Formats: sequence, structure tokens, C-alpha cells
Amino acid sequence: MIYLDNAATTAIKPDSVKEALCQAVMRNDLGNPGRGAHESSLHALQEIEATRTALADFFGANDSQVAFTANATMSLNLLLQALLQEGDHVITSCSEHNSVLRPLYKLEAEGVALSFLPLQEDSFHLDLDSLEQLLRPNTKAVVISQASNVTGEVVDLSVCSDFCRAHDLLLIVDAAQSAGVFPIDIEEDAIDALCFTGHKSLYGPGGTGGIVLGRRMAEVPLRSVFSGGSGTKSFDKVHPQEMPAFFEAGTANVLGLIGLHAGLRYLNQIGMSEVETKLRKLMRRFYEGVNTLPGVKIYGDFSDPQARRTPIVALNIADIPAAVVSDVLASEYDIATRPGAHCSPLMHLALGTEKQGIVRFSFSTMNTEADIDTAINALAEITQELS
Amino acid sequence: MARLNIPDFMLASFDTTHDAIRAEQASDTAGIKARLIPTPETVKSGCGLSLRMAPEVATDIARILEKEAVTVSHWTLSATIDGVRQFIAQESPLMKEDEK
Repeated sequence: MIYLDNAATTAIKPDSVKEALCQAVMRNDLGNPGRGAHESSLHALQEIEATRTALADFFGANDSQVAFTANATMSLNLLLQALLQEGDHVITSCSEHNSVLRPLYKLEAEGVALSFLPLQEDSFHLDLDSLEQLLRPNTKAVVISQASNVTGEVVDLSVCSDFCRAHDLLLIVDAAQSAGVFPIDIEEDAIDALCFTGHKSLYGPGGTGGIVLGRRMAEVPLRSVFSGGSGTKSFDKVHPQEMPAFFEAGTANVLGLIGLHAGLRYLNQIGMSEVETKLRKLMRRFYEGVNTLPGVKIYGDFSDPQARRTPIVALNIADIPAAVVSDVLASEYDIATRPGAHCSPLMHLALGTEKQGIVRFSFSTMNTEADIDTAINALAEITQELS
Repeated sequence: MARLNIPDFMLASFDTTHDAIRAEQASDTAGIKARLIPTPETVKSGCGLSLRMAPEVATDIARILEKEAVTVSHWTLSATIDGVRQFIAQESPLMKEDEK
């Protein structure tokens, strides 16, 4: 199979990640981290703390401000519930995934007001000029995905962070699609909280992810929304309020975090600049190969070859349902893509694709130019049949 | 019971396991013998792990931890007094150094 659904998950992991996972499973000496001082417990603790430090280095954060969760969705749920309460107002966007939207809708039912940045007219870019118009006296945060999981368009976070700093708002970023695609530094980018998942472009296994808090969050009160065993302060009725324990209850995913650490090492070894270049080349090769095929409509701005994007090419062929195209690609050509709504209902409404869906091709560093060319040829055959 | 007849030692305790593991790593990097043990229930620190060390290296370790910005919540001396193992709260070894 040619796997081009990497925005959903990177099914093909680097050999170093596979080896780290296999070795971890075979070790027999990874106990429950932070739940004792025998060697097995300490080994497990050393492993997850090494992953925490690697993540902190990767995102330019202090390692005590990195909390592990199961994925970006869990990170966003925990963080948004901890941060927001009745009477608050949040600015978000129409390009959000349901991992942002549904927790916000739940909070909306509890009295949190929401406003949505639209797309610019006849554009795939968010209308960040609308930020000022959406501002209210009770606005507390801007919650935004750094990159659309449908189109791959990247938001200019510097505009958002300037706006947030000017109005003393928090900038909460969903980095599910961007982490591991290009460098992110939460202090340089003025991000207050970053939610990420490990199983996409960080090349870790499923069930890994986290929350990274910036320096300003130290002064922000958070509601306790998650509690349980922490291995610390066992006689307190309240879960520890300090990071990272605040967001971590129960036994950590030690094996998964060892795999995530291996994923980070893989990226660091290549270098994030090189990773971004490689992904851009694959994406551009595919775009150039399919853009002029008859009946193909691309959803995304590819006008500047050097513009920062995530490695996604979203398209439709004439008015054929995306599910049909994706199924033909899978069953006739053994190519994995993602049709449908991509859990991003507002983006599809904005693009007018809520009925047809979109076929999303997404690439990883594990893809080759031969993969891309095979996919181009497959689409060429399909579109030829149409004409 | 001979194995329970252990010499006096110092304990550095922490609020988080993250600090505990960093303390062990910092001591290890400095080549000073210390290891993590379960925090005795009488020590009211947040973390279930404490760094155990010989009393004579406690000042060196305290200095290293201060340099590495690892916060020690409690210093405790474990000693056998009148045949009973006791845990006695201590001020930071660095405070004692300052007084000298």
C-alpha cells in the first residue's frame, strides 16, 4: 500500500521508532513510574522524564511545563475546561477540528461565548483582520489550529500573538497538524499553551500527546478537571495543582512515550528545516502533477512555492463524491487517502464541500517520490476515464 | 535484622517526581553517590521519591541542586537514636554553610 493519509496518523514509522518500541516491550523492567523506588519503577520514570525533556527542547519550553496526555483531543479538552468558565468569551475559527469545536460547544452550553474567524473571501486563508471586530470586554483567549487539517493552510501565529499580547489574551494553539512538520518554539512564537499529539508528524505511537505551557501560564488560575493517582501527595483530597502533575493522573503510557522519544530523535537527527524541505518537495511534486488534470479542483493556496504549509493536497474530481474517489484509489490502486469531512464541519461548510467531501492526500518523510508519482498516475487514469 | 542496621543518611525530598529524577541525574553527573528511595511517610513532601545520600555529601548535593534549579521541599536526617530509627527535619545544608 502507498500510504498517503499521514495527516490522520503516520502509519509507517521510522525504523528507529519501531526498534525502540520493540525493545521497550521486551525489557521486562519498566514498572509504574513515580510509584516506588525500586529499579523497575525508576527505569520507567527515567524514560518518561527523558521524553519530557526532549519534548521541552523540541518546543522551546521549560521541561516542568510539559504534561503528557493521550492525544491532542484530550489535551484540548483538559486545557479548555481548566481555563474557561461561565462568562468568558473565546475567539476561535472556522478551520477548527472537532477536537477544538466540541469541547468549546460543551463550554458554550455552560455559558462560555464563542466567536469564529471566517475565511477571507475567495481564499483559503483565515481572515485574521476580523480579530479586532470579534474582541469583547470578556474575551479570554484565542483558540486556534496552527494548520488546517483539511487544506494544510498555516495560520500566521505572529498576527494572533500580537493581538493577544495587545489585549492581554491567552493564545491556545492546536498543533496536531503542525508539530513535527516545521519548527515550533512556544516562547519565540508567543504561544501560551500548545496542544499536540504524538502519532502524526512526531512519528510516535498512538496514545501519546501533551500540553506545553508557556511562561505566562504560570500566573493563570486553572480549574482542576482531572484527578486521580499521582504518586504524590497521596493524603490530599485534591489532585496536585502543579505542572506537570496537574494534567497527569493515572499510570503514564511508558511504552508509548519511549516510542515518542524515538520519533523526536528521528526528527532531530534529520533536522526540522530539512524535514520541512522534504515534505514541501513531496507535496509540491504531487500538486504540480495533479493540478492541471481535467476536472481536478484543489482546495488550498499553492501560489507561493516557498510558503509554509503542512504537507496536504486536498482535492475533488468534478462532482464525484470524495468517498468514491478515495475508495477507487484504495481498492484499484492500493493508495490510502482520507475522504469525507475530516472532523472539520465548519471548514467544509466554508468551502461548500459538506455534501461532496474532499479527498485529502497527506505526506510524511517516509514517502518517496515514487509514491507521489504512482498517486499522480492513478489520478490521471481516473480523470481520463471521466473525459 | 542486620540489614536494617543502616547508617545515618540524609534525605532530600521534592514536590514533584520530575524534580526527584532531575536531582538523581544531577548527582550522578557530578559523580556523587546518591540514590532515590521511597519517601518515608513521616516526611510530608509531595513526592513519593527522595534522594538518599551520606550526610557528608549533603552540602555538595545541595549546592548542585541549587545550581540546577531543582527545588528541595524538605531536608531530613535519618538516624538511629536510642535504638529507634528517626527522621529529623533539617534546614538546608546551604543554610548551615551560610552560618559558618
